[in-house]
Formats: sequence, structure tokens, C-alpha cells
Amino acid sequence: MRKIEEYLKNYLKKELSNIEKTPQCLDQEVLLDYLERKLGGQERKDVEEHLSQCNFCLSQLNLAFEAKKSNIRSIGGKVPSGLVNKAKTLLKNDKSAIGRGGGSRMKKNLFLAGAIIFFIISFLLPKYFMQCLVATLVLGIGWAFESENGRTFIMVLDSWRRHSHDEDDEISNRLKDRFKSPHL
Amino acid sequence: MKVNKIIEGCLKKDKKSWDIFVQKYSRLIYWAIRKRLAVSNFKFSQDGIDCIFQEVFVSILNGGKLFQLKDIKTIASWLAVIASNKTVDFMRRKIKEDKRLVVEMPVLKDDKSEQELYKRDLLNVLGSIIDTLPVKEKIVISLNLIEGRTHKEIAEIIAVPVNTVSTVIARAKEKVKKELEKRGLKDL
Repeated sequence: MRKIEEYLKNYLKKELSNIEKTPQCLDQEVLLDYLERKLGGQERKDVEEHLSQCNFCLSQLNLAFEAKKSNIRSIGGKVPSGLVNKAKTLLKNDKSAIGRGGGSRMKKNLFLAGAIIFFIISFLLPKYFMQCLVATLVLGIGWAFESENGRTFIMVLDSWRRHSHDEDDEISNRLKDRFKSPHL
Repeated sequence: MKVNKIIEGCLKKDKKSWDIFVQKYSRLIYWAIRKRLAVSNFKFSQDGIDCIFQEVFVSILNGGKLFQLKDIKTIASWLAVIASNKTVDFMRRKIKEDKRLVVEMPVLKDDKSEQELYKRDLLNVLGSIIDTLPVKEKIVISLNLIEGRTHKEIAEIIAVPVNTVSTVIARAKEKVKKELEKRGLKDL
């Protein structure tokens, strides 16, 4: 029977030798759902129909199964440590972006803290009331610009102002047209 | 650290979680890449493997792949398939640049009796048997003979009883044997 197996193997390998992914190939999620038996009756049948004709997807299924069953600590060979360290440093680059975000938050908080402090001082030191109020106003505006909500609020105000100007223009044009009308 | 905590940490771009994730799954991803390359007819170098390895982690970290993971329990299979897909993408790109990277498939053994049978449409005989098999049986034969899965494993993959798998394989071999004997080939 070994020869029969050989013939069958050779035939299958030859027929399905181009393990190419095609646009009809199964989506990764579908393949994994099939393996985990999460697909319904017809979906399962459709997947099996494809698997019977596509060696790429069959090999993907086989790979997924083997990965599932294996001990990830001992599967395959050792990975060069340089590769692993390089992969770890991928997040180091991202972390700097997060650092920048953290700095902006601190700046925003400083503006707010400063505005509150000067506001309190303006009542404690009546002699410098106006100066402290001005400082409060300046720091408050700084906080508003730093904060996203503040920026959104300014955008809304600006849009309302422009919209109301547009409405005024429209009303005045209508009035002009009315006076120009021959019916009068 | 539990897997779900590691994943949560990675999604929040926590450095410690990412380091643990890379350390934990490196071996699996490396294995999946090598396995995909091994079954392909593609000439690859260590540099190629290294490149694919990095691309896999880049796609997981920056490509938002982690958000697509539906079930933590399937993470090993999920990562293996991602690594395999990345390998295929890499091969396609490289083959476009240099078609010489494609290896010619090996020719069948030069055996007189096999050659004769070959002339008498061996492939047609096998094809006529395999192609007429029901869908599930075809999968069973392929998983057994191409992927080398045992009967028990095949039963688990396609959710059929082990006995059914054994019967299917035995029946297919018997069919082939009878057809080949009809065509004069002995000592099978």
C-alpha cells in the first residue's frame, strides 16, 4: 500500500503544487471560525467545498491547527535574539509619540492651575486685582487653546458667527430684491 | 502575566506588555514563517526571514491587527495565519522583482514501471478517483497525504469521527489499487 500512497501523494502534490493565494481564498477569520467550529451548517459546507479545491487554504488550516496544538514555548527552532530585540524596539518609537502627548497634557494643566491661582490671588491682594484678573484671562485663554474641548468650542462659535453673517446677507439680499420688484 | 492582560497592554501601547508579547510569540511566528516558506517553491535567505518576521510584528503593533483578534484562546492559530499571509505577500513582492527566485518543482522518480503507467494516464486514473470523491473525503485524503496529519487530527479538524477518517482513507487507497491493478500494475 505504500506505493499507492506514493502515487496519491505525488498526484495531489502535482495537481496542487502551486500553493497560491487567490481572491477566492478564505478570509482568515472564516478559516479560524471553521477550525473552532463556530460556523453554521451552510457556511461549513461552503468552506469545505473551497478547502477540497484549494491547497493554499488547506495548508493554512493545517498551519492554524498545528499552531493551536503545539506548545508555543518549544515550537520550531530558537529565534535569533537580535530579531526578538529588534521587534521589541518597535514600540520604543511609538512610546516617544505618547511622551509628546503626555507633555501637552501637563502644559494644559499648568495653564489651568495658573489661571485658578491668579484668580484667587486677585481677591487676596486687592491692590493687584486688575493685574491678576488679566493674568487669569491670559492663562485661561492659553488653557482653552491647549485643550481640545476649548478648540472645539472656538470652532463652534466661529461657525455660528459665520453662519449668522450668511443669514444676515441673505435677508438683506431678499429685501433688496423685494424693493426692486416691478409689483410694487 | 495572563494573555488577555498582555493583549490589553499592547493595545494601550504599554512597553512592558509589548516586550512580553514579542518574547512569548516570537518562536511561533518564526516557525510559521519557516513552515510557509518550506512548502513553497521559493528560494529564501535568512535576511528574507528576518524581514518577514519584523513585518509581522509591525503589522500587529501598527496595523491594528490586535483589534481584530476575536477570541484570545485562538491567538496561536491567529498569529500563525498572519505570519503565513505576510510570508506569502513577501514572496509575491520578491518574485515580481526577480522571477528566478521561483524553484522548479521536482520531477517524479525515474522508474520504468512508473513511466509506463504514466504513459497509460496514471494521473487520469488518480484524477478520476480523487475528483469524484465527496468534498469531505477529498479533504481527508489531502490532509493525510499532503499535510501528514494523523487520523485523529483530521477527525478533530473537520469534526468527523476517527473511524470515518480511517474508512475514507482505506477506501480511497483500495479504489486506487484496484484501478491500477486493472491497468496491469502489480506489487502495490
